[in-house]
Amino acid sequence: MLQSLKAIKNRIRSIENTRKVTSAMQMISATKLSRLDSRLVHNRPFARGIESILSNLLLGRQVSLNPFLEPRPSGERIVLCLITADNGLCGVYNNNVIRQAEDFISRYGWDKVKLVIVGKKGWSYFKNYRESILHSYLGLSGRYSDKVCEELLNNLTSLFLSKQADEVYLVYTRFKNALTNQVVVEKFLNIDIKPGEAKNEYIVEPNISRVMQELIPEYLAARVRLALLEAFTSEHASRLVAMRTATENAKDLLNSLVLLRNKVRQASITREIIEIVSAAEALKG
Amino acid sequence: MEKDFLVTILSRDNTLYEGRVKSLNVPAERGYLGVLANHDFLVSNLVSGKITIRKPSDELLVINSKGKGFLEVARNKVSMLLTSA
Repeated sequence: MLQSLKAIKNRIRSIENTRKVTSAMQMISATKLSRLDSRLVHNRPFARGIESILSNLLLGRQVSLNPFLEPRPSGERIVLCLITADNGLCGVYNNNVIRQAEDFISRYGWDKVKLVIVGKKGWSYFKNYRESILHSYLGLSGRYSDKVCEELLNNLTSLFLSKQADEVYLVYTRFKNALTNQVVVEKFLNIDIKPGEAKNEYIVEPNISRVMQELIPEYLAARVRLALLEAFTSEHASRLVAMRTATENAKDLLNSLVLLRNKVRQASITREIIEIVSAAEALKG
Repeated sequence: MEKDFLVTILSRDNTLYEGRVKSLNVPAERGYLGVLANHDFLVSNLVSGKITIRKPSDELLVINSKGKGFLEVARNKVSMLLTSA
């Protein structure tokens, strides 16, 4: 028993505190996750519905109906919007997004790609390329708000409309379930969706250009909203899993330290008894 | 010929209605639009107003839509997407 009893007690106390923090964070993530998850569940069919109407309408029609549908030269002026978290402590969540973004950038080169970043982690990783960062949204901490969503949408669309960008891509994490999620790179603009399979001609009320004028902004808004919700839900899920693992590890560590503490204490008691007994023996003799 | 059809009404954060209906009345841009079973393929944008649903039991259900929306009718399947309700 080389370690002193006091040192072990100190370690136990500090690990206990850490465990309290991680288990609190776990609970916070769990509530945030369940709140966002229920929103996500409803937003997915909404976004899918709008996409399917749009793709059915686009079938066999001129694509010059809207500036967002206009084909642009590819691989020249690209904007990449990556969605990361503000805080760490969520496992490999941020690293996965950043790695995908780096892959993407290395494919085209820094001279062609500009960045729009959501989340401090992504920003601090790419801050050495500050001149390439067009917009950044920091301090959201995984809280979704319609205001931010609108702002991000306006920035992305105005970059495209002002021809500062010919293509806009989104990199974010898609939520599958609490244990798995997947980083996706998606083309956001120009709108490039496959025409639907319905071979039937639709009646369009009042007329196609009016419907497109309403439908396309709503489609784009739904995509941005969904991307943010997916990313934030995955963030909380990753944090939940990371914190649960940390809490469990702390418990294991505590158990073994408590055993060690008891052994050390017992040993010191035994030693003291031996000292007393041998001292008594010596006095007798 | 079928007498009723399937309707799904979704808002961003909610499913407002899902089920079979006999008829449907929705606020389109140029006035209210009625939909019965076996309607032709149709896409329309919606404005704010009252959406009236007649269920197969002839019970009426009214949903107030406060924002924009879209309606798609295809093969006795109607989906409606509302931005706010």
